[in-house]
Amino acid sequence: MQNELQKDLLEKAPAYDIETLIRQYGNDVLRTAFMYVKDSNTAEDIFQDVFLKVNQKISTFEGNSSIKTWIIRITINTCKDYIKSAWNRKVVPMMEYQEDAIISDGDYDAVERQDTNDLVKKTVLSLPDKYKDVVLCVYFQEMTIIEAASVLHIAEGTAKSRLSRARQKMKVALEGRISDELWS
Amino acid sequence: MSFGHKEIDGMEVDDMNLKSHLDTSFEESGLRVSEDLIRKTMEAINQQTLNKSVEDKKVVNYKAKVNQRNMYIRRYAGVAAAVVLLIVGYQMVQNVGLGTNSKSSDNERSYDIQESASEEQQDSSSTDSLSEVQLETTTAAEDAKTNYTVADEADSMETDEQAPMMVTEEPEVSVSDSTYGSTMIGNANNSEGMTFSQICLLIPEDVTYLKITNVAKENSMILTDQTKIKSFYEAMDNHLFTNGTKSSVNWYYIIEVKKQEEATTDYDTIWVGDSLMVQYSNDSEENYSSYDAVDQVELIKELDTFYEENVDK
Repeated sequence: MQNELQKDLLEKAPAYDIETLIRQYGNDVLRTAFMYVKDSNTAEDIFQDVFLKVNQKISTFEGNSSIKTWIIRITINTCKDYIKSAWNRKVVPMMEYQEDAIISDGDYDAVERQDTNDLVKKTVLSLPDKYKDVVLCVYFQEMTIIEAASVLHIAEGTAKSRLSRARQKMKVALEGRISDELWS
Repeated sequence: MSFGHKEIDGMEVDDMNLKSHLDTSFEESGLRVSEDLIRKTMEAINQQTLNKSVEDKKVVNYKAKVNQRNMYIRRYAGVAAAVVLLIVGYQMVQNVGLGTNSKSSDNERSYDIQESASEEQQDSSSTDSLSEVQLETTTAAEDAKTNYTVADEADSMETDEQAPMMVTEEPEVSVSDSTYGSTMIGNANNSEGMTFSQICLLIPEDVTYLKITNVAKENSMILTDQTKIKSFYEAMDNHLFTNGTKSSVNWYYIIEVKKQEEATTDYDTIWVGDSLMVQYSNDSEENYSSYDAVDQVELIKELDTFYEENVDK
């Protein structure tokens, strides 16, 4: 019975090439992972782990959501599992800091933009997980509230509420530190 | 920068351009999927697929082995169950057979018991007769007949044939036939001796012919009347007899007693002299026993009296 159901799903589901999926959604997976684990090497490990799971479970994908949403859901869950296990191992990943040397005056604008981007990134990364989840899903992965709520296994209203509070925290964190013209 | 909440067609408006800032930041920091990462990931995926196929094969092989093992186990279990059933069935059949055998054994045992009981009765009768009265009368033949059980017919036949022989060798007195029998048993237990009815196998009721011959007078009389016959028995029962130890030269009376039946005739012939000699005979054989009268003189007188009273009447 179960085998027949799986067979039907495989027949209905479009054939996904794993390499295509990696190339299409790889950056989203890697960067989402980084947002959680805050370490590029660990993010790459999680990247591999996520696509191994995708390859393993692609036959169970029912098509109720987009394949990207499904993959991001796996990514978030994998990251949370890793954080949980890392917490248990009492391993705290170190943040990567790049100190680029300023070469010329023309680079100051770039440095300022980089600082702005990094500041936004650091602000998002500093959000509590429950708010960061919603921000990443809605703004970074461009999901609807409903999709985000589904991926995060929360109610739609809860997702909206968390997103609103996340925005308030970011406002407090970024207000006065970033020039208005950069947000245009 | 606006931090207001905007929503268009269910999509949150990224008025902060967070995605743009984050992507730019990641690009600038070099956080992107490299070809090397894709290659490594594909290798891992291929390895996973390979391992999975190997595991699947192992699982298939394991299942096959398990199935094969289960098949053997099932076969052995089936054979064992069949053997157990066979043994149980065989034992049940055997028990049923034993039950029948035990019943027949019981019958045999009961038969043996009856047989041994009758033998014991015979033995005790013989012992009693030997130790106490040692009669040499043929009453033992009737004793044997009355002591036999129904279940011992074959033995009874044998005993019937042996009875006359036993009379001469081991006289028995356990007669349980009629009032005379009771009297005889009482007398048999009496250590003083036996009555005439005991030494004579024919009881008066059966006697159809009784002849008394006076040897000295060479005369005889015949009694066929039951009253007379019973009267003679009563007169003779006044005397006691013991087993004979002496032989007689002179015979005074010869008493012939006959029992006539349809096909057979039994004779008792009693020679009365200084001692008594009794001849037991039927159509096929003869036996002899000798007795002594406790009071021989009185016996002769009794006979003289009876003879004188009845001879001419």
